[in-house]
Amino acid sequence: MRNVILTIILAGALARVGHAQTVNWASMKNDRSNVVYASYGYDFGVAAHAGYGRFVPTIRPLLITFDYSMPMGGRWTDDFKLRLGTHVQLLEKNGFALSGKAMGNFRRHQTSLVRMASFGGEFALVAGYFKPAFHAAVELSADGAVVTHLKHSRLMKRDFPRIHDGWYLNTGVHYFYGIQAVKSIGRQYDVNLRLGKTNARGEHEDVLPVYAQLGVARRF
Amino acid sequence: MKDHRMKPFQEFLQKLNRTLRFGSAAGWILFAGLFAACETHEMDDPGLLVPLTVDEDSSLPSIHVNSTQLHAQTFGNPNDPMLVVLHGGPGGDHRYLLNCAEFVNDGFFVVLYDQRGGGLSKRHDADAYSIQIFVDDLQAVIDHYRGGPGQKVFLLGHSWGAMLATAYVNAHPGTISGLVLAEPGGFTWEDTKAYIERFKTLHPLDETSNDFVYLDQFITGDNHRILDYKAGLQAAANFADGNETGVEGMEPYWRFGAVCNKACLDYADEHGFDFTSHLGQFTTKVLFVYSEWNKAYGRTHAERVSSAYPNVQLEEIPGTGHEMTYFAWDRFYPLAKNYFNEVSK
Repeated sequence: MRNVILTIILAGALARVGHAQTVNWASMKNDRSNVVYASYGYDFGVAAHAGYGRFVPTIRPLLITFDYSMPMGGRWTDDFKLRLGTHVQLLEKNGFALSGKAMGNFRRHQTSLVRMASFGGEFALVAGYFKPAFHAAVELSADGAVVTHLKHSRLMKRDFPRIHDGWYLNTGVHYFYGIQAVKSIGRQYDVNLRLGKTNARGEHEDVLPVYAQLGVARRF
Repeated sequence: MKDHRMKPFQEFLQKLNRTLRFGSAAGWILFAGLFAACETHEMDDPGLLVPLTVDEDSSLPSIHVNSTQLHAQTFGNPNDPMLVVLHGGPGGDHRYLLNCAEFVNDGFFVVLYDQRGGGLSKRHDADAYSIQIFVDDLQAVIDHYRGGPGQKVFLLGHSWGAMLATAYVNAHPGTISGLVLAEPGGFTWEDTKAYIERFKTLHPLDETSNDFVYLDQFITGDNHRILDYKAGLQAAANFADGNETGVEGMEPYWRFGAVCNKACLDYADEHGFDFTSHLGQFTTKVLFVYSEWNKAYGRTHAERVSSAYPNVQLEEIPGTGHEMTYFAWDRFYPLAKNYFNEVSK
């Protein structure tokens, strides 16, 4: 229990200072401190993402973001993910940069059998070569569903009346390995691409253990 | 001009930023405090998300055969001809086939059991599964309940259970007195794989497909209880609106044996199978039924699969899908009853 609380506090504390999708640090300008972005791709289902970020002047370049994503399907409100986090540049030399992301997230998922609500955290390292007009980088990240509430439907309870609704700890952990590339178009627009592989905790793989996102961002 | 227009907005964002920083910090502390007061569980705690199995709950009826412990129930007079009912899966259970106890009224001693690794039967690691082990288990169940060599044995199988029944008949063509098969995927791996691919295709923009894969980010792990629970949730795709197999709803079940199911599919993919080599010796008429609404099956596949038997009564059950033995019991039962009356003479 203590570990969970500490993890939540840590995730929250990190999230308090920000996150991002794909950031080209070299194209950041003082007069372009806000960014809105949208992407579409495969992220545990075919999903659309939209978000807002704000660059904050600190000792290191830092971006605070908030985004929303939802998978495709007939029902638009039963499944979604909200993320609040930060993305900070840790090191930079001659165009090569290392940055870190920390995000807190809230996920919801509902089917005819169960409603899930989960609080979790995502942590990532991004290393690459950054020029004002483009960047290419590798990313390593981890995503944990730290605590998940399960509420089962009447249909589920018809077959197993004693099934236990409630909070469950540490229900899911994934690791991501991938690449990202961004091409800046003019002073305001970026087009970005993320591709990679997901690994679920344990030996049992996900149904489709990959992610891929194509997105666009506008700085203003 | 541009900077002038943006200034009020940027001031607003700066205020919002400060508010968010304070607000989110306070929010996280409040959340952590509230959460500390909640009762929490581990997903693999016994009995919370999936029922206990026979090795975990001694009150459940079970038999010890072939180095495993199976959840089994019998109905009727043990001296009557034996009807062994085989459920689908692999990894499923016999709960949705409990209607078959009605065959007691037709003079049968009805035996239902959860196959190895499924339902309330004992779990095993993935390397414990092969097609032969299921055939051996079935033989052990028959031997366990059979009063003597004079007692006739009949088989009724649904889906994978119908495949298992055929594997048994292929291995022991002279021991079964009658056979009812409901939509077996196929009697060779090629036929079965083609059928599976027809109904398990994911559609990228479809709610059901996305529900199936979206769950992955919530639940991971190797523990059997967690995998069983997750597989049970993903089984919602089987009866979702517009499903390819025409299933009307969720049939009753106890536990979906995820490790068993995956191990069997992996085994079949690696080794293949062909249950047809000795079916020519089984000259007793077979009742082979398929459902009207299963778009992945249909008469063409039914004719192809059933043609491995020399003597077949092929019947379509109208107004139902793959789970016809549960949702269309009123149409399935009379067919099976008449068939058993005919072959029992």
